[in-house]
Amino acid sequence: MHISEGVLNAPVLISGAVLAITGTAIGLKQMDYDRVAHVGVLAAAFFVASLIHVNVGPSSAHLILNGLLGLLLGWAAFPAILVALILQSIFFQFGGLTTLGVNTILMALPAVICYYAFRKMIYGSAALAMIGSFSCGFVSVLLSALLLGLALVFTEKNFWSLSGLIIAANLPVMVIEGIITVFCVAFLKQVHPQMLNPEIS
Amino acid sequence: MMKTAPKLKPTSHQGSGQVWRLAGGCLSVLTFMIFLNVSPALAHRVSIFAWVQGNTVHTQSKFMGGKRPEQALVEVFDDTGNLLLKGKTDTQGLFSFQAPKISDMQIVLTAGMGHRAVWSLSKEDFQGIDTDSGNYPPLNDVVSETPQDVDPKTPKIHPSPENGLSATEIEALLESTLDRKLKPLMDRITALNENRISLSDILGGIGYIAGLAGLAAYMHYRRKRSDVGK
Repeated sequence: MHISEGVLNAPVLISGAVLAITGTAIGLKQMDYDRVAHVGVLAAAFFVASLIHVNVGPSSAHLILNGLLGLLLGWAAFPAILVALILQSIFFQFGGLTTLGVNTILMALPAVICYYAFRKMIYGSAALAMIGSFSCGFVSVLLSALLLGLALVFTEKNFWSLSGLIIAANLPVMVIEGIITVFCVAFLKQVHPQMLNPEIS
Repeated sequence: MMKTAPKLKPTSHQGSGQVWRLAGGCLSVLTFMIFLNVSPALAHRVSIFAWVQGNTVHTQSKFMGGKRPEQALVEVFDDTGNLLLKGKTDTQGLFSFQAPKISDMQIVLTAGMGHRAVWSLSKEDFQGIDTDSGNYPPLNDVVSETPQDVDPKTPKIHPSPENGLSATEIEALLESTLDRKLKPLMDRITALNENRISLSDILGGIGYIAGLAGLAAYMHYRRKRSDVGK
């Protein structure tokens, strides 16, 4: 899910960077600094998750965990993901420094969308919470795959076949992230329900 | 940067202790999962490595998980950025080509879905190669000139014009032997070049994040305290 250096053209890179800066600014503004430790821990989880390789079928994909980050952090997922991506590009050479903005948008925007789409469901009945958290994990990766297709369409053309390919490659990741999110939410609801709601703690 | 007053929220200390235990648990589980999975299967950066043999350039491409990009585009550019040739990797991620000329080269792999890697060859990598004929005299021809029925007491033959080995033949012999002997070494270098992710990289990254979170908290509370002081 990381775009390498030299793949995208300048307009895509620049608009990605501008959007990422905007998102990060909103995230920093909205972030509750009493919960900065949560942001840090989840950024670390995101940083490490990309090393967990999902080897199902012909695909070469890894965990992202952006749905979980979005659900727990809201807009603060932006700075968390940006920091983790900077470190991933330095330590692991995933992506690159010029594509940092685009990669941040790829992963953080779906996180925020899923935060608004699914967070209400988490407080519902057990079944509803389960469906909501699974969808959150699943849809966030799906949206990331679509955004990746969109970013590449300017250089690789043929959006639909490309996006189909990316989605197919990431389908196992979507399911696994859905399941991980379900478990995390179920666990948090029992142990520390306040953590699930960035607004009311 | 943060003009809005910090939202002060009642947080129970008991609760935050639980969060820390939970967070520590999550992180250690994740790290553990990585090391279960550490074999050859890691994440999915793509890399390309090229080496020169004779006047053939061999390239090997790999995803970090150990998968080989199949049918991925390989383009070769010269030092001025002109496209010299292009081709596709085979099922093993290999692609070889005859160097059309000796110059610095940029070998670019495009493996789709935003994956790209570059390897540079410099002019020096081609040094000592006779471009007119990439082929050296077959090894057997040279060896067979050594008489089989020599008396073992006779001193070893020193390569000199007298026993029929010319300087160029010796050079050719050396070249082909070196190519053969260095092959395992080159393979090792190829393997090393994959740049496996080390534990120190992972822990370093986590440390940076912890430090940044700490720094953010420190800046924030210092500002808050100076506000209170006024």
